[in-house]
Parts: sequence; C-alpha cells; structure tokens
Amino acid sequence: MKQSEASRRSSRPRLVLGTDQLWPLIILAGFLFYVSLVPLPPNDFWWHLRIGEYIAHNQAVPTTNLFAWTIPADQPFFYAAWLGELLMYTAYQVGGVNLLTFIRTLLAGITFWIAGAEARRRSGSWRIAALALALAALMSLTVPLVRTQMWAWLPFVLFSALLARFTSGQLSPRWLLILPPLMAFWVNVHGSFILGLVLIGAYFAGEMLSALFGRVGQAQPRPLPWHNLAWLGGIGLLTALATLVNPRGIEIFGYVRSLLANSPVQDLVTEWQPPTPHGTANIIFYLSILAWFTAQAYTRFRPSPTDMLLTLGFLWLAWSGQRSVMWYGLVVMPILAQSLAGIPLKGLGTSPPRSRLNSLVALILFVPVLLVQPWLVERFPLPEVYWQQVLRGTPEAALLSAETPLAAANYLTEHPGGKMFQEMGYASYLIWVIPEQGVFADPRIELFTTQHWQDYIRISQGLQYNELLSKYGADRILLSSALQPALAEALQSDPCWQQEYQDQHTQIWARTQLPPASCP
Amino acid sequence: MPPNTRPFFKRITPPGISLLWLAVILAAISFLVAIIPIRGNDFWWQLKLGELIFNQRAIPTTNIFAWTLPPDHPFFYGAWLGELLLYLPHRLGGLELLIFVRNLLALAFFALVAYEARQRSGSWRIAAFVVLLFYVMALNNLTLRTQIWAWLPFMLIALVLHRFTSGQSSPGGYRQWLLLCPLLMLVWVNVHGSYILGLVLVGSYLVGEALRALFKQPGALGPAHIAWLGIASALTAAATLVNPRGIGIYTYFMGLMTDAPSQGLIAEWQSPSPNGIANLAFFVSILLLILVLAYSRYRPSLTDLLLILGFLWLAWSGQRYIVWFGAIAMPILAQGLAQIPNRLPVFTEQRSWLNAVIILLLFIPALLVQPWFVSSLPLPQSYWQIAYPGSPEGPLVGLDTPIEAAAYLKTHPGGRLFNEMGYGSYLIWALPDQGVFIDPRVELYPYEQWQDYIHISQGIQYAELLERYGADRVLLDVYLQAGLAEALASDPGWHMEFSTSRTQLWTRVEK
Repeated sequence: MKQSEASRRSSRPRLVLGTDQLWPLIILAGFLFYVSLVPLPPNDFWWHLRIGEYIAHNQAVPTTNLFAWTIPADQPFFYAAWLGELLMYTAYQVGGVNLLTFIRTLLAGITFWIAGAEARRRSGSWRIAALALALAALMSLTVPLVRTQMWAWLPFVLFSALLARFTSGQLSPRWLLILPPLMAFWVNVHGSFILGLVLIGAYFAGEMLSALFGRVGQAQPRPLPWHNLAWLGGIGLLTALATLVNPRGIEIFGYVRSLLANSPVQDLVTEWQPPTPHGTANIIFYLSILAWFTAQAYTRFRPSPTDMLLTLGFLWLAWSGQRSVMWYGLVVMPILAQSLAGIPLKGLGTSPPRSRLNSLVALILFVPVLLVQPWLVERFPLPEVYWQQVLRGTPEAALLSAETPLAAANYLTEHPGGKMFQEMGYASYLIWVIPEQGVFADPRIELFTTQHWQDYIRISQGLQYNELLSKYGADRILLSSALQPALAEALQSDPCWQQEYQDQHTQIWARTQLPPASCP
Repeated sequence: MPPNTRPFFKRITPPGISLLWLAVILAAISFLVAIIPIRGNDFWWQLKLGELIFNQRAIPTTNIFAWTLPPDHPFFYGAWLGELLLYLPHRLGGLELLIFVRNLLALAFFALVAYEARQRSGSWRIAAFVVLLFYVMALNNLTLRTQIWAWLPFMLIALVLHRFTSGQSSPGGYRQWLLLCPLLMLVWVNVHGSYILGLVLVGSYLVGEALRALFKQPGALGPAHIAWLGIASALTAAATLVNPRGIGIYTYFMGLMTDAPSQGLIAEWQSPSPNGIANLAFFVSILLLILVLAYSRYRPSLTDLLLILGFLWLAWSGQRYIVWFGAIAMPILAQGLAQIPNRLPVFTEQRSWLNAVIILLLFIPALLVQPWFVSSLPLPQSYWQIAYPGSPEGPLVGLDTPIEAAAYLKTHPGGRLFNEMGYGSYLIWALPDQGVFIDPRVELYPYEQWQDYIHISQGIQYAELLERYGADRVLLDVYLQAGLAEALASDPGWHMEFSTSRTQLWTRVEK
C-alpha cells in the first residue's frame, strides 16, 4: 500500500507546486510586469535598428559613420554589436517593435528565472531564492531596455549557471562544450562578451586555488578533480578562441579597451558612472552589500575561493559603472542566497506541501504580465501619470517613450534639409526615419570627440549656443522641450532664430535671414 | 622578589620587535602628514573667524566678507570653537605652531586607531597593516581645518564605548569613563559639525548591546550596564545642546545635509568612486572586510555589525565620511584578520631596549619635517611645486594661495572683485576689507550664484554675468579657471594688471 502511494507521489507532475515556490514566481511576475511597462526610449534603439536593416539589405557590416553630418561620412566606426542589430531588425521585420519589446521581456524573464533557480540550487530554499531574485531584479531596474545588450543576458546567465553546476559536480564536462559556440554568438551581439571570459577565468582560478589549498570549510563541495580542472581550462581556451570569431578578430579586444578608456563614454554617460546610493536600483545594490556583511556575521557557510573571486570581482565591476550592477546581481545574489541559507533560522528548511491550487495561483500571477504585453497594454487600466510617459495609440508601436519625436519627424519628412542640431535621443530616431537628414550627434558616443560632446552639452544648456552652432554651420534645431529647456527658453527671445514647428514635446527652429552682423 | 614589589623601572618591559612594525608605519605617517601643504579653501577664512571671535569676544552671526550679499546676511558659524582653537596657536606661535598641533593630533588619531586595532587583534603587526590602509583612505581628510579637532573626540568615544562593552574591564570599571562621552561632546559640538557622529556612536552601541541582551547572545551586557550606556547616551545627547544655538544646532545640521550647493557641487560631499588612491584604498578595504568575514573565525557582534553597516553607508554617501569609516572599521578588520586560520610560523617576541632606540630613531625624520625645520630640508623639487618656499605667512602654504596677488591688492585696493573660491578664503584672512565674490562658506550662497560662479570660471557668458553682478575686477587661478583666463586674454574690455605663474588680476577697461 505504502509503495503504491509513494509511486503515486513520485509520478505526480512537477507542475504541482509547493507554497514556497510561489515566492520567486511572485517576484518574477512583479519584475516582468514592471519590465513590460518600461517605455522605449529612442536613444539606443532606433540607430541599432537602422544598422540591422543596413546589414540585412547589404549583406555586409558597415564600417563608417554614415549618419552624422558633423564628421566625415567615411569616418571609421566599428559596429561591434552587428549581430545584435541584425537580430533586432529580423524580429522587427517579423512582428514590428511590439515583437521586439515582447522578446526583451521574455529574455528578461528567462534570465532572471535561471538566476533564481541558481539561487534555489545553492540555498535549497525557494524563499531565500525569492529574496535573492528580488534583490537582483530591483538592482537591475534601470537596465532592461530594448537594445543589443538584451541578447547578452541569456549567454551571461547560462555561462554562470553552467559553470556553477559543473564545479559543484552536478554537470558532466560535456555540458561545457556549449560555452564556446555561445561565446561565438555573444561576441557579435554585444561588448559584454568579455564577461564570459571573466566568468571562466574566475571559475578556473578559484577551482585551482581550491585544488591547491583544499576545502575551505565543511560546507564546501570537494575541489574539482584535476581532469575536470583540465576540462575547465580547455573550455576556457576554446571560449577565448571563440571571441576571435568576429569581423575584427583579435582587434575586438582593442575595441573593448578603447571603449573603457573613451572619455566621453566614461565621463558623460550616466550608466558608465560609478553608482551612488541614490535611486531605487542603486540603493538596493548597496543594501545587498550590507546584506552580505550581515549574512557573513551569522552564517555557517564559507564561500569557496571561486565564489569569493566572483563576489569581489563583480562587486568591483559594479562599483566602476552602474551598467555592471545587473551582472553583479545575477552572479552574486545566488551566492548571497547560499550564505543566507547557512544562517540557523527555524522554519526555512521546511517543505510546504504541494497543491494544484498553488499551480493555479502561479498561472494567475502571470496574467497581468500577459495583459501588459505590447499588443494588449493600451487596454490595461494604468494610471494617467504612466500614460504621460508614453505615446499612446501610435501606429509604430506601443509604449514608445514620449521622448520619441514621431510628429516632428513626420514634419521633417515633408520639410527636409538644412544642417540640423538635434537632441541626442531624437537623433537616434531620425537615423531610422530620415537617415538622409543627417544628425549633429547621436548615441554612438565614442564616434564623437570630447570637445564635440562638450559643445553639444553647452548648446543644450543654452550657453554660447549661437557661437557654437555657427562654428558647426548648423541652421536648424530640433530640441526636446523637457530635456533642453534652457535652449528652448534662449531661442524664444532670440531674433536670429524662428520657430517653424512645435508640439507637446519638441520644437524645430530655423535660422532667420537676418544679416550676418546681427547674428553670430 | 615578587613582581609587584619590583622597582618601577624594572617593571617596564622593553618593546618587542613586533612593535617596530607599527612604529615604522606611524613614523612614516607622521612624516607624510607633516609635509601636507595648507590648501587655501577652508583654512584661512576659519582662521579669520577665530581672530574675530578672539578680538571681539563674540561669535559673528552674519556674512561679513562677501560683497555679493548683504553684510548682515545671517550665517551660523557652527564650528566657532574650532575656529578659535585654530587662531590661538597661530597667535602664540604662528603657522608653525598650528601646523605642529595638527601633526600631533594626527599622530594621536592614528595611534589611537592602532591601539584599538591592537586591543582587538592582539597583534602589533596586524595593527600596523590596518593603520596603513586607514592612512591611505584618509589622505584627503588630513588638511588643516576645524575638522582636526574632531579626530580625538571621535576616537576616544569609540575607545571608551568599546572598552565598556567588550567585557575587558571589571564590572563597572569603565563606568566612570563613560562620562567622558558627554564631556567630549561639549567640545565636539562646538568645534565641528561631525559631532553628530558621536551620537551615532553611542546610539549604535546602545542599540547593539540592547539587542544582544534581548537575543541573549554570548557576552551580552547585563541590564545595569545597558542602563549605564543609556545614561551616557542621554547625557551625550544633552551635551549637544551646549552651543550658541541650542537645539537649533540640529536645524543647522539638517540644513547642511540638504544644502544643494554643498551636496551637489563640492567633491568631498559626493559619493566616492573607485578613482584616486584614497578612494581606491576605501573600496579595497571593503573587499578585505568581505574576505576576512568570510574566512575568519571572528564573528562580529551585533554592535560591531551595526557600526560597520552604519559607517559604511555613511562613507558611500560622501567622501568626507571615509575617514570616520576607516577609524571604526579598520580595528574591526584587524580583529578579523587575527582570527583567520593560518599555518604561518609563530615568531617569538624578541624584546630589547634596542627596539626602543630604533623606534625613537624612526621618528627623527618626522621631527625634522616639523614646520620650523621643513623649509631647510632637502625635499624633492616636485614637492616645492605645490608648497610655497619662504612665504611670508609661514611654512607649507600651498602654491594655490594667492599671496603675491593679495600683497598687490593691499597696495591697489578697491573695486568689486570676482575671485576664485579658494582665493576668497585667503582674501578674507589677508584683506577682509576687499570683499569677496564667493568663498568656501558654501551654504552661505544661493545655488544660482554657484552656477554663475562655475559658468564665469569656465568663461561661459562671463561678460554678461560679471556685468550683472557689477564686478569690475577678476582674480583668477589660471589652472582652475583656464576657460576664464583664455576668454579674458582676448577680450578688449579687460586688461591684466597683475600676474604670477598661477594667478591673474584683471580690471575692466573704462568705457
């Protein structure tokens, strides 16, 4: 009797969930609900899409400026994320911007679910995994935009998960053969491919230390046998070789180095700046470090040398730039979960009974997420303050940021010409809609000099704008009323400029025909 | 003869060789601190305030020096006692004595941190290491200004609280020492705005120990001891009211914490980033703490955990708090380091009076660079490119101090002068009647004026802005205000009436 009951239990579908499994699902559903509603800013999206289209039509990766009139059209530029751009365009061709937005949400969901599963594997507790997932998700709130970086999320978390399971003895070495082809993909979709090498390097170095010095504590698995270490080293070499499978070969590393040393990128772009304890995402990041300290004070868990290398390395990376906080979260929060599991607390180790009702609840949790997908979101009763951030009812796509100059671009299509100064994000959209118009500066930050960006900032602030615009020969301005209010205000009282177009968010100005003596 | 009847000189044991480690570090730190040049910004105007307080026997309550604001514009000189204490040694022995006092205070500060590290770790070598790390992260906080008077109160309160709570003393043995906390606070609240950290310290210890007792953790204090902590905390909090503003000191503090120019424009109020040697040391120390906590047998008490978390958050909020984090966290790091299991050989401590001689010798270079002697030392030429050799004000004056320009202005006074901010501080000292456009009393000026100052300094719309303020003279620093220097050089509306390698004085041309 008991045997048949046991076999009935073991044959019960895994989809019957325990109550504690609902916790991470609640977190994930909440996170995906939020991600689904993030408006699509123009900055990093449209110019990537244009490059993807170029690649699809010309069967070649461009190598020059193409769009900015302020620098020679044939100025060299390396489109390192060419495959990411092509993938974006391919998805766009199939299902428009809405499909791309949905893919972003799907990728975010899978990525963070894998991270959550890793947290669960390490900690043995769904509740602790939920906490780790919440921290990882909250500190990544500013990251999940539709851009080429989204193609890197899955490779990153797969690298992390596969290496972690391999070194804990749960996967055979053959699974690591996934990594080199994954890297061959990653190196062509986004510059973060370098983190794949960082991960393998950290695992290899950490496991070497474990093998040399033995186990750190009772809670640690045995060090890797030497033949598995050899596998890890060999895969590391293959993965490093796979990075050469890109249009520039070994020069890809020079590109990464130059990006890290590029002054405008490092100094002027917020997400490249070190995080400060302001804003929800950054505060959660810093709180996670405090959580680490607290956990270490009470846990029985001793991190392995590998886990310590990962923690220290990705923490340093995150301190160096806000854009790296998400990678830190995906790698370190599962390790934190393991640490938290080592704190002797009553009740954490219990396994609540499974029930079909839990499964039903889990499904219901994701209904709101489905309802805010791009094809359906406009019918969802969201607060008015949210709708003020997005363009509602646009034929182009749902959830375009209100900072996308749709109407102004339509006007310019009918009234082209001139040498135009634009807001940077607007320039990205113009590259897509009217590439022949030309842009003053766009989000290809490293294409333009520091001086160019300083001039852009001064003009945007209404400082010496006449002098600077004359220096470049600009005779039209497309500005954002919200992002460039000082310039808008200065032009209002400037007889050298007349307004030719205005809508709720944008203004277009043209230089008047006053004599040169009157206007700089 | 039993040990306790031995003559005193026979009871003193010679220092062990491990103490040499610390002596080397402290001597090096003393040397390096002693040659830090005086930077213009905070020092000179604070010295002038001290002089005013001393002469008038009253604390000023208004602007006084800036011509861009009404002279009776209210301003609270929260660090009045610190400013007076800056002036008194200066009056007695010139800049030399004042710099020497700073050097002594710094040595005492680092020595106390080392002492606490040694108490916690049991090792002078480990103490030496953490003190070195602490010095590097504190590099940007050792300049001569009123903050130096806060170092000792901070560390002494931390020491007393830790002794009381660590069970190292006999029951009640340190009760009387707790009274030092409110006494120190009486001074601290009037010398520098960091007094609030004294409350953070006593509060952390009180909360931490109360929680330990509540959770019945090993080593937790009994109710009587916690009551004593509570009394000390209350007295310390009450002591903060002994200042010219009474409870208004907290309004002042909140105002400073929310002052847009201070928080938004001044580097040391900004969150640190891992750039620059001091900040790098800070971030490295956090990684070390993580590493040590992971592998050490040491488990921080709830109180120590509260201290680490609290001061770490503070340090992340502003670079100027890193020094306080270091003073608290480095001894805790030392305690963790001491309990990392290792197979290193244990050296027998070799005690000898020769070690004492060596320790004394180690401090000779530090003595030789004291302000009375430093100018005659053969320091590298690169050092004299940042410090003024033979300045009339005294030794170690930074080259960013416009001494010659001020001397020129003394003989050619007048006009409404736009000046570089740090220059404003020196002008307040040297030529208070000249009036300044702006100076390092950051919270005195509105945010718009600071924005105008920045634009003018960058040469952006300078003509229009100077006209708006009615400024007809400009005293600029060619390195810090290169944009303005370049703009004026090609502007026929201005002519240069004085210049040095670093400073330029421009005057508006009469139309």
